[in-house]
This record gives sequence, C-alpha cells and structure tokens, in this order.
Amino acid sequence: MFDGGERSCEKHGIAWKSVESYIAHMSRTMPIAEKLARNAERLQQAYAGLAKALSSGDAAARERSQAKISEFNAEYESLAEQLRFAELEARELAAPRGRKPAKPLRELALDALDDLGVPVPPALIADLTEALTGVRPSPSRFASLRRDEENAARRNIAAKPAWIVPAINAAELTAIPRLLCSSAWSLERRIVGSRSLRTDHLRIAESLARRLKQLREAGAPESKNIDRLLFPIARAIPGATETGKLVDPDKVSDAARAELAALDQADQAERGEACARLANASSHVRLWGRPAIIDTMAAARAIK
Amino acid sequence: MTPENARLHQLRGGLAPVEVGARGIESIARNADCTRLRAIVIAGLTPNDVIKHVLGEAADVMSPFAMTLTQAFERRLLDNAGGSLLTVYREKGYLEPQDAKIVNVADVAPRDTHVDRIRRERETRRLIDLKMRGDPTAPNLILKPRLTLTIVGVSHAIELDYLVASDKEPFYRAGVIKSYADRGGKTNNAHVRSAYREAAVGTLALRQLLEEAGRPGDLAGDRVDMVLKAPASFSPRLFAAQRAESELASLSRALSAAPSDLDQIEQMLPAGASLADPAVIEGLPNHYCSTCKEHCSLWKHCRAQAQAQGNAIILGDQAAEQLAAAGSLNRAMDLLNGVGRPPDNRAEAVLAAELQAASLLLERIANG
Repeated sequence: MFDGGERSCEKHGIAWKSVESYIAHMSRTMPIAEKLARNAERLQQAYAGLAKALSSGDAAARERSQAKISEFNAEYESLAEQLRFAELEARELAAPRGRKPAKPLRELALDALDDLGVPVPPALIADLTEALTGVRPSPSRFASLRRDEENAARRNIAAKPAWIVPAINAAELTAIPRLLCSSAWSLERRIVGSRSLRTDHLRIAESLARRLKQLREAGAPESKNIDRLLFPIARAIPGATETGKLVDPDKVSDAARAELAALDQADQAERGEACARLANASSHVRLWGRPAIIDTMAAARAIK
Repeated sequence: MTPENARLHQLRGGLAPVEVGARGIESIARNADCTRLRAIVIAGLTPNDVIKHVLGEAADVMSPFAMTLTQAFERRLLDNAGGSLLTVYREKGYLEPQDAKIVNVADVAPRDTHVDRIRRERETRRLIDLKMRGDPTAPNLILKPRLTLTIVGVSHAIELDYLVASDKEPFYRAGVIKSYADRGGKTNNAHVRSAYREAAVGTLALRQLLEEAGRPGDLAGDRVDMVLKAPASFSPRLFAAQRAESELASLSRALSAAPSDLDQIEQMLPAGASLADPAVIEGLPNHYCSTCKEHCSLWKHCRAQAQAQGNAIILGDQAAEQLAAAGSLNRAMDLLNGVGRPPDNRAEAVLAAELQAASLLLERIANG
C-alpha cells in the first residue's frame, strides 16, 4: 500500500522524499516562530521597562533597559533571518520538481552576482548557482550571454533594469570580459584596479562566510555546498582556516576583514580615480568600457 | 610579410606555424646537437606537428591522468585570483602583506583567437612597463603573461605560468608551476632542470623586452621560481629565486646559433625542398639520445635510424660511452667476436679485451 502510494507520487512528478523533507522543514520553522514570539514578548517588556525608567528619571534602569532592547533586537534580526530561510526552503521543497519555474541564465547570473557583490568569473557564478539551486549553468555560456546583453542594450539600454556587463580595467578603462558584474551596481564597484582582484576575493570570502553562517544556523542542507565553495577561497587567506577543521565563518570573516582593512583604502582610491576619468563618458562606455587597442606592429613581427 | 617570415614560410612548405611555446624553445637546449629538432622549432613547428601533418602518423598525446593532474594543480594555484600562489609566497616571506597586486592576463582576453592573443601580449607588455617605470600600481603577480621571444627576426609567443616581484624588487622573475611531487633530494633532477629551463625562456624574453626599452637586460636577473606539489597532496611547495645561470647560458647559446642554423638548414636542403616533405625530415641529421623520449615526439623515428646505423646510443648513455671507441654496434660485435679487421688502435684493442672478458664472465654466470 505504502509502496503503491510512493509509486503513484513518482508517477505524478511529486517525490515522496520531498514531501517528507517538507514536513521536516515545516516542523523546523515552528520552534523558530515560537522563539520569535517569545522574543517579541521580551522586547515589549524591555520597552515597558524603558518607559518606566524614563518617567522616574532612573538613569541606571534606563541604561539597563536600552541594553536589553539592543540585545533583543539583535536576537530578533537573527531569528527573522532564520525563519525566512526555513520558509524559503520549505517552499522550494513543496514545489514538485517538474513545476519549478526554470530561471533563464541571465537571471541566475544576476542573482549570483548580487549575492557576491563584486566582479566574478563565470565559473564562480556557476558554482554558487549550483550550490544554492542544484542547477549548474555551463560557464562557457556566459561569453555569448555577455555579447547578447551588449547587443540588446545597444538597441534599447532602458529595456531591462540590469544588464550583465564586464568589469572595467582601472588603468585602461577597457572591458575585462572574464569578470562579470551587474550594470545596476555603481561604476566604482565595477572597476578593477591593481589590488581589486585581492580585495574582491576577500569580499567574496566574507559574503560566502556570512551566507554559510546563516544557512548553518537555519540547519539548511545547502550549507554543505557553500562550505565546499568557501573552503578553497578561505584557504587562500592567511589565518582563515585551520588544517583538519571545519570552516569557521566567523574566523573567515575576521581574517578577510583584517586583510581588507590594509588594502581597501588604496584600492578605493584607485577605483575612484578611474571613476572620475569615466565621468564624462557615454553610458555605453561606462557599462562596457572603452574599445580595446590592437597592436598591429607586434602582429606583423609574429611568426606567420 | 617580413623577409625572415618569408624564409620560414618557405622552409615550412605551406604548413601553418604553431606556437612552440617555452617548452618547445627549451627543447632545443636539451639536445643542442640535433639539427632536425632545431630546424623544426626554428621554422615554427613542433615535432608533434611533423608527426601528424608530415609523416601522417598519430600524434603523441599527453597521458589523460597527467593532464588532469597538471590542470587541477594549476587551477588550485591560479584560481580565486591566484590566492593560493600569493599565500605560498607570503608564507615564505617573498611577498609582504601589502604586495597584493595581482593581474590575470587571461581575464583581459580569454579566447584563443588571434585578436585575443595579441591583446594578451599587449597587456603583458603594459604591465611590465609599469614595473620598469617604477609605477606603484605595477602588479606583484602577473598570472598567465604572454611574452614574445625573437628568434631569427620573428617573434615567438610564450605563455608563462606567472611573473612575480615584490614592491621592493626592481623587476620580475619568471615562475613555472609543475605537478611533479617534491621529494626533496629524490626529485627527478632532469624534471627540475627542464622546469628551470622553461622559466629561463621567460627570463630571456624579459631580457629582450628590457633591451628593446633601452634598459639593461641584466635587470631580469638569472633567478627563476618553481612551484611543485607536496607528495600525495595538492599543497604547493615553492622554490623561489633559484639560480638558473647554466640553463640561461645553454638557452642563450642555442638561440644565438639559430640564425646560422637557419642558413645551414637552407643550404642543406635541395632547391625547393621544405619540411613538409617526409623525405626531407628523414634526411635531416639527428642526434638521438636516451632523454629524447622525454621531450620529442620524433624519438621513435630517430631511434630507428640510430638502430639502422648501428649507433650504440640505442643501448643507453652508459653503453654509448663505453662503446665509443668502436664507433658502431657492428664494429663492437666484430671486436667481441674477433672477426673482421684487427683493432685499428689501442683504444679498440682495450675495448675488444674488455668485451671478450665480459662475455666470458657472462657465460660462466649463465651456464655455470
């Protein structure tokens, strides 16, 4: 009877395991909701305490209440985020696989780019998309996507709210085709200076570490995928990982921030300078960079 | 087309030139006495191309296992903005924390097209020029730089693994990444020398670039860097600023002889003949040695020729040295068996006595 039911589910495209996982996830969202309700109650009490302290002019009680409010607010932020992830996950699992809307490549790329927040190569976009959705777009498709985007934008730049554009070299102001960004970002963020590859690497580590922490707290299975993605990135930051130990998101963030603090100022200055040089350029140049120069003299000397 | 290019075009006989790369150029110095190899490389071909397009045989392919290993190790070091490579340099104290300027030339023009290749060359020159001018934005690590090396008036492109220099250093050193395991003193010395020579090709290209810019070529120094992997893991082991004087000297000698080599090869060939003709390839003098197998796809052909000529080298370097007095295997057999003409000189007489004594010893051991 049970077997028959399972077969019937498979026949109609709803995996029985998904239903089981859905129930498990739903049950996980319940304690978080309860914790949130308790947090709201405590927050109300803390506010009441604050009102009382203010009316009585008790400075010590006021400070205590304010500290409590800050603490409960931080707890609220964390719980709300956990609940959001758990609900999202449950919704994902509830949708039968065959009926999940397939996102186009550009949407997947823009999602990943907004997640990472810095210019990245197609391989990392593909890796992150796979880690979060289970679908891996082929990195080789991004070159044609970038060209299609440029052609479409030439026809009507206002047709879409965001385009996938290349990063711009700070020195030459030309495109770096293998590093992709979203046109919705500020120009400064899309520029790559001499230190930017490193600073962006550190920012990616920070962003993935933050995401890993959230997923781990929510008990999401995707945390393992992000862990795998973060490990080689974190390994290249001194003090971010320890041999034989799991990646500690806080440690990664701290190490990344520490190095970033030493490099960021010079990087921002270089980007800002490049930005100023592009200030009067056309919108197309600001998005796709100046045309690249081809050295024909060198080509003439090459063996042919 | 420049006159030099026209000469090489004629020599290739319609075959399209290929990028011989640092490895191809390095192979000339490995066997400097091999006219066949020099002719092929100078003309802008590789032994593998000759095997495939001229001799019509199946080309040598790298073992898929070795290829996967090499690519994976290279990716491990160069992916994520060269983070692992930067870390290994920092750990060894060759780069300071503020030496974090990295450029991957392949990001600028990633495709394998003519235009993108030229763009990569231009970008590499621009970045090196920053260092020459003492610009504070000059990168500390240039990943996948594309340099050119002029041989007989034409430029050959070489794509190195990386160039490295701290902010304090005046100029770049070339670096190679090899997936050989570092086994300390037991690491194959031939592999290490070959890796140094490959990096030294980059140093020579840097010297040419400096001299073109009116700077002393010595600024490129005589040191190269190499990264190997730790045994049974992908952890990198850095060998920075290794002295490569002898590798540079052997390469410089081989390359400085290239113009006269070209003249000699042209004179050697009958009018209108080219390297596209299998008979011409077979007719070019070769110098087969036991290490040819490591770097030249034509080694089977050369070995067969050496065997037909009775050259003792087919028995290995040691045998070739010991049988040198005889000149050929046939003569050595005559001396052993005491047939043919009597020994021509004292060296032959000593060799004959040694061979006969060894034969008697072998017989006693084998037959009791």
